[in-house]
Amino acid sequence: MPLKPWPLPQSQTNQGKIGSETLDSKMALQRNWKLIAVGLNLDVPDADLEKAQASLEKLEKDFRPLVGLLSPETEPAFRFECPSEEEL
Amino acid sequence: MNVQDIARALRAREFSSMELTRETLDRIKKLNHSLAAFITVMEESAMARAGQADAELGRGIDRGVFHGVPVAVKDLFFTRGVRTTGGSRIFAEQIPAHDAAVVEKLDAAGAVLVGKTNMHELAYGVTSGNPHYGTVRNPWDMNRIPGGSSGGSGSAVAAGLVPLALGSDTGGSIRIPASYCGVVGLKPTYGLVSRFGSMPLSFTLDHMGPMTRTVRDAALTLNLLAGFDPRDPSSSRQPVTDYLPSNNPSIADVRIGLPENFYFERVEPEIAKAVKRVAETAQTAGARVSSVQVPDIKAINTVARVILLAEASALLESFLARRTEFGSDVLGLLDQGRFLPATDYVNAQRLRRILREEFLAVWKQVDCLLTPATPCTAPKIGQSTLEMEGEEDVRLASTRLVRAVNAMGFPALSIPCGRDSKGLPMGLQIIGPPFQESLILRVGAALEGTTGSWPA
Repeated sequence: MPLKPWPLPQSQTNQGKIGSETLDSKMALQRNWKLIAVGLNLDVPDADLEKAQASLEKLEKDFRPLVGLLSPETEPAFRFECPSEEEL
Repeated sequence: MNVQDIARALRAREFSSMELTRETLDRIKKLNHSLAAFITVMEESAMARAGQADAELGRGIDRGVFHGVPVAVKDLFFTRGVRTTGGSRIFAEQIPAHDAAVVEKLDAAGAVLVGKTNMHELAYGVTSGNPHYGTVRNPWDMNRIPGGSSGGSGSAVAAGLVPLALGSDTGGSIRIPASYCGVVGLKPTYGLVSRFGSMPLSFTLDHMGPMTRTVRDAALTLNLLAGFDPRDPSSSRQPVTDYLPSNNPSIADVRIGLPENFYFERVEPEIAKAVKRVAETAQTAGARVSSVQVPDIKAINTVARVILLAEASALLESFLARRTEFGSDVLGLLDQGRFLPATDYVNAQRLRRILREEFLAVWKQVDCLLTPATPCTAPKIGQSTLEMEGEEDVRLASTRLVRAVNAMGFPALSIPCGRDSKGLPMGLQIIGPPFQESLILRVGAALEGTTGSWPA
């Protein structure tokens, strides 16, 4: 069965829908992980960095387009609490 | 035997807690060599506790259904005076000065703690192939993983070593081993069960819960564990209730949703069929089963991964100079988390808020969702990829259907739904709205008898 896009309230995004199927993965940045490691002074050996790289790139590809959908008024869920039954 | 059967037998004096505990310890001694389900066995204190339980029952002091029942907890729950390793070499000698909140509650209820179960190192993985304390094996097939990270708890319950073992669930770590080991696993709503004294992996994704042989035992355990705890900053003040379903629970008019998208994609056909068969059974029992569109679970999984990577690496950063003391897979994940900028973590939490609001709308249409718990049955030990309409990493496949619920904080129950053609257990997941544990346990209790019983 084909996926139907999930409707997102327009007030919550000014660029599109949450859902990587509908997004442009070109938004993902090309990151140089080795330089980042040096810049952050991370003591990660090259062999370990190579192992992490593929996962990081995959995550970057999936995550970056989602970030592009955030609108300024969206606050983080730092203190995460589920709504009570009454609030549902 | 399950908890309720043991409780009945103890009161009928069919055996004593000391006899049962002795037999449990002997059985652990016999099987743990091959299962590696326990890191620490607490023989002396368990026998003493069992003796105390018998004496109390003899004097008419009855602390309830867990009184005198042998239980185990994952080795990330603090136990006063007993080492708590978190499955890690780094914490191999950690001896807490206090009990975790959940251990306190088991103790107060008269349970007999027989040991600390093995787990994926630092609860950060799904295989429970622990490089420091042994590879946990699945009792259904010793060449297969039990799932994780609460693999020792799942293995111990499935092997009949204990009727109850506690686990933790950050991205499916109770429900995955429940599914692979053919037991019941409950991840309660975020905040319902105290995290106090539990070694954290991710502050905003960690949940504590039971693994048992029956849904009713899981409900009884939740009755014991649920409730506000001021020592846990995320603890909820939501009033608790009696979560135990009746003996013949009715699911008439319960609105059960079968997701149209995501949850039945790239799932072994036998599992999809089994879950849908259970849905048909529910319909026959009077439930209103309908198809429902759910939000973009792939996006929620991505957001949850960013949060987990960032929080876990922040937590363990001070130990990362001791690289040789970590298993390679866990070290790899901890490395990844250090590369994420703070902005990604903040934005993941912002996305989480939007996605949660979207998901909450689902509960206006249905009362709960029925999905497979895992898209496959237990993979083989050492297997790193699966064929799922293309190659998929075992870790990603195992967490694919369960991780999102952690980011949402919703309660979810995994129950067995028969065995596949290889004879391995298949699991289904019942997801409910926040604090609706009573509902998902009722649905689970109504359906568990229809999904295939335990082998002799």
